[in-house]
Amino acid sequence: MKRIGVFICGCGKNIAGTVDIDWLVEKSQEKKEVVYAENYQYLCSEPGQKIIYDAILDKELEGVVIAACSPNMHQETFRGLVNTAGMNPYQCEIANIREQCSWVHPAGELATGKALDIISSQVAKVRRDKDLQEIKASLTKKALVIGAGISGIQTALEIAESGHEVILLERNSYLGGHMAQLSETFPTLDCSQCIMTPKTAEISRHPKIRLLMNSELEEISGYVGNFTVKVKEKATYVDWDKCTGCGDCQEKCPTEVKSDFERGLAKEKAISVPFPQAVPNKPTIKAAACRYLQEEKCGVCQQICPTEAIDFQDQDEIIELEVGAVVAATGYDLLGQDKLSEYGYGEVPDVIDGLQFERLLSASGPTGGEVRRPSDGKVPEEVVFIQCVGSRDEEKGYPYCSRICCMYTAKHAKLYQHQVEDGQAYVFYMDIRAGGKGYEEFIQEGIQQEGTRYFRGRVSRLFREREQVKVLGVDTLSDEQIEIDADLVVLACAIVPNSGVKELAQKLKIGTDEHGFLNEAHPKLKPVESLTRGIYLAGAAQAPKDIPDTVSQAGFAASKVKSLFSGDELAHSPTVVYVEEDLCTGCGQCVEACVYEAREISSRQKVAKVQEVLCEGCGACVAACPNGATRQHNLEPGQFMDMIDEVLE
Amino acid sequence: MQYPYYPGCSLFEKAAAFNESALEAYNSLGIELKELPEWQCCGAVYPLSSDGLFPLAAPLRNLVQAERMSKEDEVSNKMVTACSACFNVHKRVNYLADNDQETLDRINSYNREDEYHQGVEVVHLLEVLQQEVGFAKLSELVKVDLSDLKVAPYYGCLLLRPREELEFDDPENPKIFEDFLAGLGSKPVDFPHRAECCGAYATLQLETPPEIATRAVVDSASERGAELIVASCPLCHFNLQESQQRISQREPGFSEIPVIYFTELLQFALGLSSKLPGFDMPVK
Repeated sequence: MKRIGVFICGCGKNIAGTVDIDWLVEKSQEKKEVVYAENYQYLCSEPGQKIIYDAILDKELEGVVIAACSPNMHQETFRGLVNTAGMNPYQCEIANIREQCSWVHPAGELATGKALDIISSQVAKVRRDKDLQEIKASLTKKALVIGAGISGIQTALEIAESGHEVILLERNSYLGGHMAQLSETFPTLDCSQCIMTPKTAEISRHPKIRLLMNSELEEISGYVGNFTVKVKEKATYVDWDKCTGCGDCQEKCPTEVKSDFERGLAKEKAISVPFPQAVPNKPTIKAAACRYLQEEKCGVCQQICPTEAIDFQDQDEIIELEVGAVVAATGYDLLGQDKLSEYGYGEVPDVIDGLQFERLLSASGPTGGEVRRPSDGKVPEEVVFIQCVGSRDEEKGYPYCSRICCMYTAKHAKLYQHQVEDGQAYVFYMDIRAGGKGYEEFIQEGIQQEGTRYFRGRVSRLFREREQVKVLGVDTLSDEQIEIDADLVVLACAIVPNSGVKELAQKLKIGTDEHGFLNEAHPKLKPVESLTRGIYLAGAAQAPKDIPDTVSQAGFAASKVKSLFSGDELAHSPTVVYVEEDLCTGCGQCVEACVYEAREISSRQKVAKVQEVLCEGCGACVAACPNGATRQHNLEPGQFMDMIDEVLE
Repeated sequence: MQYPYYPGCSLFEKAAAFNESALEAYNSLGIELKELPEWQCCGAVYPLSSDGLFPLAAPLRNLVQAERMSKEDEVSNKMVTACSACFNVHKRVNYLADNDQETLDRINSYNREDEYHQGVEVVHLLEVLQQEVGFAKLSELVKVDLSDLKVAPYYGCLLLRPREELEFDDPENPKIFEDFLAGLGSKPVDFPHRAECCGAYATLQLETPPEIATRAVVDSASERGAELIVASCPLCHFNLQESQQRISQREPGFSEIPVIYFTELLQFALGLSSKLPGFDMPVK
């Protein structure tokens, strides 16, 4: 005979407005082994929790059923509470009478009856619940951060500053990601390079940070606190330890290729540092373009290198690492403009995207910071900016707003008008979304002081006409057709997830949304956690966001890692499965059923085993086991039947 | 292979040359265009008002004819149309029939004869040529050297939109006409106004709007060196020609560009006619 208490929450009117909670108290008291029942308007509040706490002590309760909202909301709260009152937390069960009853049914007797059934089945469960102890697991206090753009840099620095080791993985040869390409940043117009270089310099000399450049994640296994990671370090054909960054090789190399960093607006050598301020300031060889690697001709770089750093035999290398937590900060890309043929991209050279325009504005860019158009190097006198190219466009692009384009377009127009005094900037927009500190003021300044002309409307088409780009659009406020002979057109293309993110998400076993952005565990309350414990998200990989938001989120992801690393071992829920070995035939169906890779067949004993720390207690293997050999703590076969019987009574 | 063929009214009047050249050229390529036994005007404009079901009965009756014809041996279920407006109307009515059973049942109830059972595919002359012969194969059959001829392909508006209903190439950047012209060995001119409207029916009441519209099209083509404009729509053909004539009467310096149907160029290229209407091929 157990002493069980039932506590029913009214959740304001959320529950009490639909089911009769007084009647539920009355009926609950009649249940076998229930010695106490009570209801309260908000059980999760402090007075509500006190009622439960006092009742446990006064009535000497041994088990508790909380009839309230989903266990996802407050199971942790209430189990923590009963623990402070000296009860084993696994003697506390949640009966979900909100999401599964009051919210989905009309008020009345039927709903109240169903609520009682839900409560009764949990009472039946508590009758046979056993005391369970948390499973302890070891913890490697070392973090892996994937992506060294501003979000990865911020995350890595903050974790490292708390004294934990960080491995920062970057597939390019330089730090900074897209932020390194930007000219000046909104709304303060401070130079992107200048605010970032102190951070990249700190990263490269921080004793707790190990940089793995030109590297990608190959494989990951294990679980929170104990991940084993394989990283592929791609061949650079330059020994960076020997290289002094003198630049002689880059000067003498005879082969030129389009520069990715300059987004095709300039060329670079087959051996090169992507831009002069790059950190680390070491060159790599583009194998596909190198004459020596392709045809064994040339080899000039090797001959002139004073430190003999060129190594044509260099090969990809696999590095194995042990880490306790992973942060995915893989960033974004822009939608390819060829996807939207009305904007003539690819065929009209003076139609470029926002990042290309950043390079034209950048002092270290291909034009030395002077805005000159790609076709003939002329300074453009009329520049048209088109917003929402592929964003908020369900038919041909994506339904979401890319969030940063209103602001960077305003910045582009402003910087252009600063530079070209007689120039005129035009912006076609759908709505101006400037919801940040100082953002709206920034937009208004552009319109009122710089004379940027804004048209609320779309551009239907553009095409090359003589030396110019004819832009046909509409101003829906004045109801006029707009025709502009532009010298340059800049498209604010939709922000999309970076290439390869889908594959990475599969390796990490974390979800993506329908557009490929990484999914957070809860949109409001768990914005940096993924659904896999120990793996966190930061920056534009999760959704389009600007630099301030990215830095905030990166800091939050870092603090999550730091709190994970604050103890010496990890606690894992004990409601995992176990095996009655006498019943197990080693058929392996449980191994197939498990998506967490927690099940295996012992090669010696030929019976199924459980890796307890990997088990999430989903029960899939319990259902799959033909012999009933796999069982779950506090969801034993007889216990489950009791719960069903109680509902059917 | 035989194809149910819907010529449309204008192909027996003003656009008779379109019909005749199409029949001759396509027959020679093994695409036998078999005229529907009892067809009538499709209405020429797709009714856009929500209660405009009754006008859809006429095009649907044409589809019934084509469906019946396609049951015969060696006859395709692809109903071929020539005029862009006829293509637009039939394709859209067929789209409606495929996607809205309730409306189809209602229109079917207007027809005393057979019901329509969604068994027909509506294709344009250009499409059937691309699908059945192919433009690469076509280039092998060409008898006349057109390699110096710069031709502006004029799509007009009715061939391309609405995109999801017509499914005719990419409306923002169509290629089929260019591919056809390249297949004939000529030089397609890339001009931005190739899919702009010619003024269409406004021409019945007013001269100025179609004149402004066609002027933009013609200027855009001639600036890029076009010697000839090919059209696929009798109304485009009419507007482009008429407006140019009026403009040149007013402006002595204005030089007209001849407008022909694409089937006339096909017929000429295949060696089936000796001359292009209104245009003298320069002698090499």
